[in-house]
Amino acid sequence: MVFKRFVEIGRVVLVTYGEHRGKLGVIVDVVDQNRVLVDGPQTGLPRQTINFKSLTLTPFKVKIQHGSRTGVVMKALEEKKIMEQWKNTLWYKKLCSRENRRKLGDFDRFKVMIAKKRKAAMVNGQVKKLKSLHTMK
Amino acid sequence: MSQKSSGRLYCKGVVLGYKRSLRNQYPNQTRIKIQGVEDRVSTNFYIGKRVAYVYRAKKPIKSIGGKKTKVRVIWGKIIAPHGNRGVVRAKFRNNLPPSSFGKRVRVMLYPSNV
Amino acid sequence: MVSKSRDVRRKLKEQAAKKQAQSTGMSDKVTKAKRKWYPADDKPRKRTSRRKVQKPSKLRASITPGTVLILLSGRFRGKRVIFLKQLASGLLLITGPFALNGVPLRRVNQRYVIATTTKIDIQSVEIPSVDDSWFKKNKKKPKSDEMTDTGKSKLPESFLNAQKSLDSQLVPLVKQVPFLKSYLCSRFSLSYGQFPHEMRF
Repeated sequence: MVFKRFVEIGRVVLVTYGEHRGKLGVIVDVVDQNRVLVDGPQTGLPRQTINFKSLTLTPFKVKIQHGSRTGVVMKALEEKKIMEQWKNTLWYKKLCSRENRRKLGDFDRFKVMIAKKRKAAMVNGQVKKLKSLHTMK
Repeated sequence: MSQKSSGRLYCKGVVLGYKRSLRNQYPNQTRIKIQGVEDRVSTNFYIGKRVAYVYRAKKPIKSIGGKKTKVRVIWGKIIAPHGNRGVVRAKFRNNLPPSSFGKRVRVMLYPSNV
Repeated sequence: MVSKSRDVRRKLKEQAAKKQAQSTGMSDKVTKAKRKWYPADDKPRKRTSRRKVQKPSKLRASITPGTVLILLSGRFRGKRVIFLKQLASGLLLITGPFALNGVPLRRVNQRYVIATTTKIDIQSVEIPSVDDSWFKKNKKKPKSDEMTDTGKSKLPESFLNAQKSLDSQLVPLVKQVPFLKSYLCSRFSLSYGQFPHEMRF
């Protein structure tokens, strides 16, 4: 299979653009080729139609009927513990760290720079060692 | 980490042209696009900041340092946003020459409000 | 509205003037009505000068004693320094400390400075009694000393001593915070992808 994540009723999506950036929602219904009805009661995403251009599909899916009301969607999300699964993903952690990086003050940025340099020095040191071993062989 | 000279303490900008309507232009104000500023709200930080158009000429002239350089500056400041996409209007002490269109402009970080 | 006749209006005016004179107890000379003596030349009215009462410019809330500042312009542009206090002229008194980054006791304008969120507790530090007159440049150069003068004027001992005492107090405080020493030694600059309107300092 080339595609693994499909637009389907119950697909959990992440909003990437606009007022509700960063919120998770569930596809409740499909409007047309470009838009879906989305509802995200757990993250505060109000029920609304969104264009696919503002969404990214996640690997999570929930079992609901098309047009399900917010309450039903909430129950389905809680049953499958979607928020927990989402927070364990590397994707979510990367988004969080990006947010944190934005909020860094000047001193913090300096410390990050030093940490990066040290890490790079350690990694490069090991690489050099391995290279020299390889060439000796 | 020995840094003998300072690094960049200004934002990069580009001169887009004079303030203008379709068939008239007003050379006393220039439009400037600052790198990284994409909407009107972001321009609030830059309003009031000083801008420098730095250019080179053939004849060396005396600079503030006392030395003679071929580098010249026209100083100005950012006065207002221009439109909704982060473009900004600046007023210079002397109007910028048309040869500056498309050229680099330095948006300094002072007068600072942080 | 009934329009009052001129006589009635004049009477009312006189009555009002009388009342005012009575209430304030002013003599006839001062009231506008009749003057017996006028000065020969017009005396300019003395106005209280606003400029004589000059308050130092309001310090930004982000700048408190011990804040690390980034200098934006001048000889030490990009350097990170410690703010000590605001002088009477409104300028900020800062120091590197000199032992760390070579910035001496210096005055700087608020507007040419970015205040970072990093602060050092300098309550225990005794700031030398420095004021604006300290920094006034000595304009008179003795001409007779031209042959012996190397061109560089030596700083008076008081300057050097003040700097030394300040450094000896500040440097240990700086060393207490991990990485702060190298932070103050380094210079600030914008790099690719860094836009100040998005950055927090």
